[in-house]
Amino acid sequence: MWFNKERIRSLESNEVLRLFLKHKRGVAGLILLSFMLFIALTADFIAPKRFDEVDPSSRLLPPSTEHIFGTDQLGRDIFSRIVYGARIALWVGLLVVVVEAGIGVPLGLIAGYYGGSVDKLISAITDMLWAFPPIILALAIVTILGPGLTNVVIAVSIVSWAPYTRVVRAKTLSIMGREFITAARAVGESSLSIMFRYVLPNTLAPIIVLATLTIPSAILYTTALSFLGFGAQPPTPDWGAMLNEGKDYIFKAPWCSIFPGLFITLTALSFNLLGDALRDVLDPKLRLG
Amino acid sequence: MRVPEVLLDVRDLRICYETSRGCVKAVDGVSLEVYAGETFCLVGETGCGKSTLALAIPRLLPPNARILSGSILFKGVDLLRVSDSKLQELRGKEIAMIFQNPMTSLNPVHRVGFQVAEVPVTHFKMSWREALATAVRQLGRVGIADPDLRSRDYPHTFSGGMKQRSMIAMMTTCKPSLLIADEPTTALDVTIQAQILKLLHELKNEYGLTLLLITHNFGIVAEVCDRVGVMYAGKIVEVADVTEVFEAPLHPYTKGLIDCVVARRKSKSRLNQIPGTPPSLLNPPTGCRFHPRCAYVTHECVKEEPRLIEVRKNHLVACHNYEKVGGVSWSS
Repeated sequence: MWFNKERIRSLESNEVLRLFLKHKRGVAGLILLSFMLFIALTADFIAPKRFDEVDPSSRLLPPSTEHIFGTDQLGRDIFSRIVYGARIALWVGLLVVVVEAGIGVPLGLIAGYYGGSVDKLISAITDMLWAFPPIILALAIVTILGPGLTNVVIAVSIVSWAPYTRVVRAKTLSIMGREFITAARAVGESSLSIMFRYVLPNTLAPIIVLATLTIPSAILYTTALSFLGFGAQPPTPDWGAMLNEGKDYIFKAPWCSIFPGLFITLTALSFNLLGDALRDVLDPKLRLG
Repeated sequence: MRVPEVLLDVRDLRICYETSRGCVKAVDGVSLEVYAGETFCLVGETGCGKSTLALAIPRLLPPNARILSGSILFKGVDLLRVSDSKLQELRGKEIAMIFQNPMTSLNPVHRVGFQVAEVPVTHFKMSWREALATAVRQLGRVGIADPDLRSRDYPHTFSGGMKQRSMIAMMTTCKPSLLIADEPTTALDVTIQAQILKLLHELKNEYGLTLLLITHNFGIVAEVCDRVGVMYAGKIVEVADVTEVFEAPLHPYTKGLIDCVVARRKSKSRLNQIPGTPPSLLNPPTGCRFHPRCAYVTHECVKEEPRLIEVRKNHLVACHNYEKVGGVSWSS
């Protein structure tokens, strides 16, 4: 009764949806992303072969009707590997963003809410992290932790939560000056409740935009680490690892690296387009900082 | 006559704001008593420290404010020394506060009913279902039409007057003993102002709460107050019953303020004004702070600061020449 359908379809969300549908690049991004999601979810049905099915008799075959993206040096079907790889890329991107936001958002809230020396300390750590070249730091961390997809996710998350802290801190500062926060304190709300029930919901719009915009960089970082051999280990069909394996045959069989590269680009692009559109749509309404 | 019970006792309170140019003494040695069940009005110009004083009571001052000295006794508990968790318990349950700008006082991302319901959930550990029903009832009580439906709306669909009503609903669901209203009608238009004041007055009688009303509007003072405290440049200059203040003000500043009220001027005569502007609280004048603008100024006023003394029964004033002020019109 409290959240009836009529109320959920409120004017506000309709407005956002209407603005989004008018945003051509945003819709293009959404379609592209839906396509990636579709192949990732239905990989078991649309892949003609298993991703690790080796066929020594058909090595490095160019694209044909049987292998539409060709085959690699072990005779594996590249299209099948890419379709399964979409699962890894999207899952890893999502995971990294969740971990990043999980670290960055609470820190930003705490810094903005308490201010003073707490803020100074958190901001100093954030700025220090920001000063490091992320890929180098991620390489260092993954060297310590050892190769593997989980460790790559940890490494990439550790090096790139700083934007969340910055955005959330700035937004929190602006919200803390608003009267409804004083009103919340006046009715006896606790600090924790004010942070998560009053401040956090008001920072959601920039967080959503930031999340969509950091997924592509998360995907690019993880594939870069995989390309350098730190990420997913063979025979996992990680796009970065496929690029790496394909680079030795770049002149003889360019399709081995072109198709994984193309899919990395398209996936990153789809998130970027979507993120830009979300920013444009949510920005003027909610005065994102 | 029975002795009225003191609900709120502010003693020698000093608050300053730390700024880059030095310490601004917004409240400088204020003492006042508010009795249980009365409506006490705090009157003064913009920037005289009345809002600072109001915010200090539930300890909601901005971070750059420093409380230098003094105590605020509420039912015998010093609010300035009580622990944060105890204070959190008192806020909303015993002491509630309504703010000047209703447009920004409600959280834009939650439904109005939810926000009102949150208060009894926090303080009485009420179930959500029960609290929401209470919220709807309370919203109806403060005059929101169709409260059942409107409680599910977001604040941006409410008008200014409705938002202030919702704030009042939110602040009174727990029936606090003390309700501080910091210029509750300043941001509203005149017809709504009267309705909101009437509502506050009704709720005061219904719940037996004590109202501390901050205002710069003497019309409001005359309308709803029992006693009045006049503030000037961070100090209380006069405290008296409302009729005393209007009929026989003893401080030149109070007298000047009353003479400024448009409705009181004789027809066609020019509107009275107090010459000069309020002093900077960064570096206030010596002696009596009002002396540069005062028509009754003497050498004593420049040198020595007058103390707040009880010159008549229940009538306190801080002026060396209060005897001369009583009776003589400001403009002459």
